[in-house]
Amino acid sequence: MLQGTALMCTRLFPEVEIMCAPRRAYSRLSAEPHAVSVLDACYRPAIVGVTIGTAASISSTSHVSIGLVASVTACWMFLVAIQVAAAWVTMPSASQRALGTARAMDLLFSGHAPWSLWLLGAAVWALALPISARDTRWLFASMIVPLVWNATIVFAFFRSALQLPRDAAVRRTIAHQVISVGSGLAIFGAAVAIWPRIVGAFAR
Amino acid sequence: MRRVRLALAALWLTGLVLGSISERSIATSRSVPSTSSGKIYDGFQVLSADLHVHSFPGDGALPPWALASEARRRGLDIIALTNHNQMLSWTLTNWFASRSQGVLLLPGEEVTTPKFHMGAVGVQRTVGWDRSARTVAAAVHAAGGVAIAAHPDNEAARAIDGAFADIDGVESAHPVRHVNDKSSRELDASVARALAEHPGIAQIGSSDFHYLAPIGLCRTYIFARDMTIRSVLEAIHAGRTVACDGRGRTYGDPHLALAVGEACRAAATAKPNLHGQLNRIAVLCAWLGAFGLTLAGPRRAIE
Repeated sequence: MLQGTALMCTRLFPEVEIMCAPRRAYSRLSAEPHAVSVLDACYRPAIVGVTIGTAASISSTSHVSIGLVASVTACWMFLVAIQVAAAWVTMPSASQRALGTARAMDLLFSGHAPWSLWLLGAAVWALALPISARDTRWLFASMIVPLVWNATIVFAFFRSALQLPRDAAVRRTIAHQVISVGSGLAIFGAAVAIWPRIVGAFAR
Repeated sequence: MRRVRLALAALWLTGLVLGSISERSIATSRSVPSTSSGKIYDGFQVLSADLHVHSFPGDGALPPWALASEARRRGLDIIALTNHNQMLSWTLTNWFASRSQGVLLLPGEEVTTPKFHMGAVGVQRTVGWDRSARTVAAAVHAAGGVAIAAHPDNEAARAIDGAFADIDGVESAHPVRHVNDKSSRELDASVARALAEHPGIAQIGSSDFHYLAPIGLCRTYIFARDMTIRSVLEAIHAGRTVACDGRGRTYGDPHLALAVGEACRAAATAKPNLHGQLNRIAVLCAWLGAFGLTLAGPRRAIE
């Protein structure tokens, strides 16, 4: 009974299905008949943006308001734009794949849930723990979970949804992660002035 | 399934609306840490400030205008935007207004060098980072600002040693005090070093706000002639400040500390997290809404 309910949930929600069994989910989802417009394809990136805005507002202020969440979402939307750019660059051209661009984008963003859940988890972490117990090293270390999980999902997307050969899927997954995660790290590095810190670490 | 998503979106939006109502009611009922603005002591206006705040674009989560709103909510009169080695957020602020919602925003940067960090508050341009503490302090003064030793640990204090006389302030109250005893002891030792070298150095309390702890957790009470950038910088330069940590302890001139002791304790005891039933419900609704929307995306083929 319980197993049946769980199965129904995963079948109803692509995000859950993809997180549980990425390759099988992408095979099934990409085989289904569909029609995805550009507007439809914007839905999931928009939800990612809203999730970033909501989670960042909660973790940094312990509250939400229309103005606050709208501001934070607008500011951090560039992270979603990087994801879109990474997908755009690493996906084979339209003539080389069976799926349309909007449908492919929609499927790829269906696999963003590990990162979104991590952000929402970080917000709970910031709310629940007293200041003295907030050791950010553990929080940042936990990023390895969505990092690996998402890379697995991206690989499954290239392999099963776009039906690329294994080697090509690996190459494109690496390229996707380098662009998306690498850009994020580069921006974060610039924001924290990483270079003087590296110089300092080597000078010790 | 479309109904489920609509319900989740409505839940999320309800959270935002309730949060906005809660924000307004807090602003009118003053259930946030009491601000000292308006209080006069010995002819000086007592202002509550957070002089070490990171913002977007940088490694802070909030843009300047949202920070101003948050500062007001947390009972602060002044915040300084101090991103690492850049002042982009100040440029962004200038596009809007330097004085936002009654909160005075100060330009600044956290000069991040290999050995120490130094707050440069009130500067009009960035300062090079590959220099000694004395040279950085001189450059900060030349740029029209005041220099504040930021969260000086043992290593930073060693690097600044001999230059504290050229520095205007030292962060005596910083969230590292709440992390562990070792960090707190290091900070105490560095402040003692600074005071030995420069007895009149301004004691500063800052939250070093980024994204995971509230703004104004530690704060500075500034005894300024009025609420202008010039007067605030003059007060810091003259050492008319009291640092206040998140446990309600004050650091600085005992007479001045006495004047703001109660306000500091009130700020420390006011819960930054989820104060108010309405705010709690708002956060819960928004979080659950976002959580649900993350997991319940549309299945195009079925619909």
